[in-house]
Amino acid sequence: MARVNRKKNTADQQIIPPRLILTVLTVIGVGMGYLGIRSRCEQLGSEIKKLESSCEINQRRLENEESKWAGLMTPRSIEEALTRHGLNLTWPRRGQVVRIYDSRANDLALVDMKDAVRFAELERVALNE
Amino acid sequence: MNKPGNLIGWLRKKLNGISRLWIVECLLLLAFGAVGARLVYLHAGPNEVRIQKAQDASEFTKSLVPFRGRILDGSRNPNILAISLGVHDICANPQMLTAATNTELAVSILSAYLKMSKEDVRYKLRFSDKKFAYVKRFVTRDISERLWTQITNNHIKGIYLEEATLRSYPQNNQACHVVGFVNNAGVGSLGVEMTLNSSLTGTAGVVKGMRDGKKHEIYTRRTEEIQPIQGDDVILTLDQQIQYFTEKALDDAMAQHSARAAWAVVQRCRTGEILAMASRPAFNLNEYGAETDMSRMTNRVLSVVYEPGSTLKPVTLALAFTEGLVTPETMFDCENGSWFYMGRILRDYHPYSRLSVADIIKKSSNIGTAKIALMMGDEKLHKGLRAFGFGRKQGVELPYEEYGILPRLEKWSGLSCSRIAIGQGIAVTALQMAGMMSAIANDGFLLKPYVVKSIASSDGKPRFTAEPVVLGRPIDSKVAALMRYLLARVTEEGGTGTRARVEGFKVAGKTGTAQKPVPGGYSETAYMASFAGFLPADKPEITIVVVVEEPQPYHTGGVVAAPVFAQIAEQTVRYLNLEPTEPVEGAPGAAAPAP
Repeated sequence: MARVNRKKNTADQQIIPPRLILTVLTVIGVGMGYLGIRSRCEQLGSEIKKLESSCEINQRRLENEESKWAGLMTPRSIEEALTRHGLNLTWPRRGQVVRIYDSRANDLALVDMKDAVRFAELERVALNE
Repeated sequence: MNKPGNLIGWLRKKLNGISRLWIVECLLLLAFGAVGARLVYLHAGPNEVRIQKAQDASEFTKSLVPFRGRILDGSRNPNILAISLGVHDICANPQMLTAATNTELAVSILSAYLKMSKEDVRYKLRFSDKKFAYVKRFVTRDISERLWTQITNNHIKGIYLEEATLRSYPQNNQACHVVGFVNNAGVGSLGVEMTLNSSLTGTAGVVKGMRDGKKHEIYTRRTEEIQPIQGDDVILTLDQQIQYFTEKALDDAMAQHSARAAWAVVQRCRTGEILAMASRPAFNLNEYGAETDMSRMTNRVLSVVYEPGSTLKPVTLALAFTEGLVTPETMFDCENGSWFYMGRILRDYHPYSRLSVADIIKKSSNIGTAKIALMMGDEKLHKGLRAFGFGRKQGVELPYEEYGILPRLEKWSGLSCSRIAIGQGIAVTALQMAGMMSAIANDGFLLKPYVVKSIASSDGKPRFTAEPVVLGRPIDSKVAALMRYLLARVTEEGGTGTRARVEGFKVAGKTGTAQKPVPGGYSETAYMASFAGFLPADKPEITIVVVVEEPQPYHTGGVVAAPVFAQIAEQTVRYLNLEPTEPVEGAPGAAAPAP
């Protein structure tokens, strides 16, 4: 009597329903996708944090440089620098200043005074008259 | 029985017949049962304290400190007067550091980079049982970053950096009384830093989220993130350049006249904007803590009251013109320099017999002015002085402004009118004097002085923009024009203020020399020299008031304060590019009228 080969299964035993395979594959796919996205999010979060930190450091550096620049640009510093380099600058004598008038000259020369003149010309209520 | 071999044999005997697989299954079941029971207990059991503890360990809340807003000057390209900087505190763990083998190397590096002696560094690390010590605070990032590179390259443990904020004032002592400073608690304590503290401070932000076992933030579990709102930027009306001219002129005057103090204010008379406000002696804003002389922190322009002397005479005359009591041609007997009135003698600096009202102001006659005031009477003079803003605050956005002293009318004696009219028995601030002069320059309109031009959020959105505010109109435009004409004569030949003249401009102003009040009378040696004026006299743009306290040996306003006025005015008109109104020698087409 021939021995039964237990390793050899029948065709019926080997069949796994395709729907089950599909479901399992889908679940695995979704799971892998989720893990991938999650990992990507973590990575992006980490990059954002690094960039935030770098941005802040650069901002602090900029402020430091601005402060230094402001210190160098004070009239006193400029005057000291000029003296250090032997440059003795003075205002031009009145006679050396030539004023050329055109239709816009007044506006340009007195641009700072524009508002002042406007306010002076306002009709105002006299409070203590 | 006690031997191990016997015990194993006994167990074999007992377990004989029982499947070993069954035993393993039981053990596994028990183990999983225990774990399951523990899980059920942890999740469903009455364990709120532990849950809270676990949450506390993983959750975190971090406060985000806002940076304080900047303070800028009002020039076309605003310059930074105050800015907050991100810096580092250099900290150490003395316990760890002293136990390490490379302690001396660490001390050397710290000493070299922080510009401290090695003894100082060792002193900071002297408590070797402690785990924390500051080595140096508020170190700028360029230094701290280079230091950190050295620390890490040399594998030194026990030194670390902490983030900190430092309020920096790049101008050091320039405009120190106006800008002010922030104390160690981060609160503004003087100047604009104090009055606009809430605008400058900003609003703190917050970050809430979860941390992992290594205390690192899990970014995907950040539950709340509110960015801090940075403090607003404050733009002042001060101009760095004009401020410098003013401070330099005061420094020169202090040195030349060995004065005790000096102060000055430059105001745009058409708007009330303060272009410069300086007080000497001053202090360095970056080292305010080291200052021992607190009087250096006093903004004398608005916090010190003084007897104005003759600089108040224009008020008396303007009020007399307003009342129609006198004209510029009205003559007064000036009693040859000595007048006995109500039991007291009033003297003139130079004796005159008869002077017109126009010359009374030009020559600064006390007797003539006192007689005009007596014609006016106490009540009108008092009311007029109040209308010009004396005895009350001007309302500038700076702390510690004084009211000045204008005695109540009921307290005036028979002599008060004649003395207050010439600037005695009344105390004023330089800011009030500037307001008075600006009112004359500005057709009689008294304007509120202001130092804050605008406030803007850190992203540049405007929050506040200043506009001129009229406080009153003590005199009308005709009287103001007349006063401008008369005050311009003061700087002409024969007047007391010739040293205040500026080439190319007609200057209007008044000198003042007042003895300092001392207990029981007036000092014979200590004087207040002052000059208040504006230019150009015909079309005024800027008002300047200069006060010098106890100048030596010269003490008159005309000799001491008027040149300071001229020095400031000369440079300011050029900087502001004001067109000369008077002929200038050698200038092509001098003073040609603009089309």
